[in-house]
Amino acid sequence: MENNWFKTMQKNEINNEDVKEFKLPNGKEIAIFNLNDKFFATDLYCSHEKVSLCDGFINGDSIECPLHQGVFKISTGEVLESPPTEKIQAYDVKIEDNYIFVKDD
Amino acid sequence: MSNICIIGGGHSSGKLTQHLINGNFKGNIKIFSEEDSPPYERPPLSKEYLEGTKSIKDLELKINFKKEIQLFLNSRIENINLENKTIVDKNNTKYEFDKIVFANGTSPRKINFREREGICYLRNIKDSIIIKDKLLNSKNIVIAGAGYIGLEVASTIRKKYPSKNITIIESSENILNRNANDNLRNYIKNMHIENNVNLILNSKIEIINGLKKIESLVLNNSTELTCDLLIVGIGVKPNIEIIQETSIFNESGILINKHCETKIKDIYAIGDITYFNSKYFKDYVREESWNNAEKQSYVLAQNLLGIKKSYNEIPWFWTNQYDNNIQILGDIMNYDNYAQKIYDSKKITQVFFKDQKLKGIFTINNGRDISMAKQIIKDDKKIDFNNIDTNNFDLKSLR
Repeated sequence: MENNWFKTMQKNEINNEDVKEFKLPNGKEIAIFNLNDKFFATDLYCSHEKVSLCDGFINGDSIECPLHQGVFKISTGEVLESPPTEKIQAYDVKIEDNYIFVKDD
Repeated sequence: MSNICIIGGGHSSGKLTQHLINGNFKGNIKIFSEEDSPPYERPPLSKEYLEGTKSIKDLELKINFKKEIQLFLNSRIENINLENKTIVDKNNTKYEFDKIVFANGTSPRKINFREREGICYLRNIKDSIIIKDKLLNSKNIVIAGAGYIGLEVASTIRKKYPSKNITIIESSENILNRNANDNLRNYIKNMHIENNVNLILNSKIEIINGLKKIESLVLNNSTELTCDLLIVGIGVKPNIEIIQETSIFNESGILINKHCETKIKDIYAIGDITYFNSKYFKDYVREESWNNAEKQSYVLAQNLLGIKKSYNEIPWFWTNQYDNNIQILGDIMNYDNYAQKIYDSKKITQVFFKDQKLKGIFTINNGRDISMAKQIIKDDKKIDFNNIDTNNFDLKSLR
């Protein structure tokens, strides 16, 4: 395993169309999404205000911030609806032995 | 090339400019602001900025001003000629425009007493700075008006100063006259009582004592309250003086259609000043919200860029009090039935039905349900209330 791939949680720990937060060993806080058994990871907090996107609403492949309804595309982190203007980071994800691994450089 | 003049330099003005720049607008933009700060968002003025956890820089909207995008601060427009398409500022400088946007907002309603030291209003950064400064040496703080601004200010002061005396005086029989209901009022009222804020309802200020500086207040029931800082939050009025001599004059605000157009070509309005037929309230309203400023500015920018858009937002407000985030979507005042889900004592959702349809919702610390409800309200489908578990309601069941 390369050093920048981090083991997080098992696939079955996140329900379909749900999201869970995780703290990487390097201290970075991320959100891990299950969208129809495909897994994605982004920054945990909205880029507009420090609010956990795990409390937000998943709609298809987007996540809506619970505070000001800013919307991000989960797969890329790009802003789909303001108020945020800056994208959030989307991380590479892979599955090995039913575990979700997230890459952070 | 098009020459756009924007009257007002607040949130909607700044967002409009941002959207035009992002849409590669080819023309000149001039913003005329009576304030001395570039466009910024107002909600933190009664919360994080007043508390000291956010700075002016945190509130400002990022705009790269240059030759084509000019900002005139401390600039008051005193004369407008819509026919000749000219405006004149307080220094008698004349500017021509092809299109004009009114984004000049509202002003706080004043109390009918002589001004003196210790009586404050809250609308802009300067006001918030004054209040922040006066709070340092004030012991007995009175807030006139139990609307969202007054309640937020009370909550912010309590967070920052646990031992100061805080009293809220409200002339009507309950708090939050505007887009709230008794269920929500009770939750919010309890937050203030738990935090040792003295709430006096059905009361008016009759006398303000103090020659140069406020010393005490006498209420209509003869109660005298010691007071060294009075913060007034009794609503706002639209800044219509500027259009008084024009054909778009209207006492309630500037009347616009869903494209943010007035009845005159090339004349537009956005934000708090606008008065329009609300699809969801089925009446003419001034929405006066962050969301209204945010979304109307987007709609107008797209229209000015040649992409036809309409403003059809479900009215949405939020308020933060005592570390609770409260959100209200749609109409929660006119309802036939309601249901709720209490996740825990601090996380609550209540939904409101009228004519067998979901019409409104409020959440306490649960913004996720607002997003879901927004879709359900937009879908406008009939709901059989008899099938709903009113005390353990699952919003997902309506999707």
